[in-house]
Amino acid sequence: MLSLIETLTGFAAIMMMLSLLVKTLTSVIKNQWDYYSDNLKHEVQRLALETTGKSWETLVQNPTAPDWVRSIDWERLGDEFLTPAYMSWFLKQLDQNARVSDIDSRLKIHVASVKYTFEMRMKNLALAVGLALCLLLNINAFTIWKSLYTDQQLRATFSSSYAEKATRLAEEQANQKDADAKLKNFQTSMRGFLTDVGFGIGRIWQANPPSDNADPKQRAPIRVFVYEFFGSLLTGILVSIAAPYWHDLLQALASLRPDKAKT
Amino acid sequence: MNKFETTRFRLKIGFVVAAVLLPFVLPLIAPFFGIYAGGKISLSGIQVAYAVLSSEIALAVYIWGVGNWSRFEPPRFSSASSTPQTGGAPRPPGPGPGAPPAPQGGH
Repeated sequence: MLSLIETLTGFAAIMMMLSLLVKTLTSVIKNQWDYYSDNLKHEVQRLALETTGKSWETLVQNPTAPDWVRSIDWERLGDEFLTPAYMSWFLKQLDQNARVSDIDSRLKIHVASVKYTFEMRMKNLALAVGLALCLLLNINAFTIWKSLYTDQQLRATFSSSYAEKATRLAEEQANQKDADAKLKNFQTSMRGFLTDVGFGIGRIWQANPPSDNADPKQRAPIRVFVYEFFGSLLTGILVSIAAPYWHDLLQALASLRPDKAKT
Repeated sequence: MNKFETTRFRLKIGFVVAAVLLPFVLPLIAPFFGIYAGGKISLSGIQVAYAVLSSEIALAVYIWGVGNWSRFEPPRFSSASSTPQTGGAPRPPGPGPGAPPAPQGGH
């Protein structure tokens, strides 16, 4: 029973570290590319359609519309742009006959829609990053679990010192405000972690990928493929789940351990 | 379905068929490009298939969930005109026939 709890604790610690890595990569990608402004643009265009009854193209091509409407830089705007006063003025500039009734309520719905679509995109981005990381590096949860369950020394290491280190890192990541310091601290911790968690990673890329069957005669490549592929796919989905979930699980498991329970 | 939508639908079907065939076809033609066990790029057929399938899945999730293919489409209203409301709860906004293309945010 104890070995199972220790294996679970070690496994949760590893998953949490990988989850933090996915979160950081997602954050880096989010900062590099714009995933927000097209949602904002779409909602403003929808609002213009509802209030004027004309499509955005028609409104923009209208000779009475001001010139700046044709060259709005959406990437430089946020949802603070969607205030009732500003939008009423904006819609009137687009079309003098725009019906700007209930603008406050309408804007609340549009702002909620902008936020919802952005959050959904970020969740999907994290899933894509998690899958790409685990599939291409062949990080297999089954192999990690098996290694932890069978190797007592490994299990002891990951369920004690690493679990604490992972929890501390997750808390630091959540609390630290300075992005640069956060990234630097994370890089240092992650480098050490990836060196230590060498087991179960990249087995498919070896010249003769080992299968879980000890008999070399029975090592069917297709079996290795299925095992590694589905293992990595599952790991990708598991690490895409938010890091706080693994953090809570890790803390719950740590409290079950006898040495912690006594204290 | 208009002409643009038909072309788009055919393109999508084409991409899906190509994506299904690629993990089978690419390992077969990889040796001609020097990709085989002990070759210039030492990868076996299984490894090539794994790399292709992995890349495809990650790319499909990205395109489906973050890119343009999956879109959050609110229910369409039959008329583009929205009557001004004088009382009661405001009607949720919805696009008419000439609604702008919905952005990403798949789910």
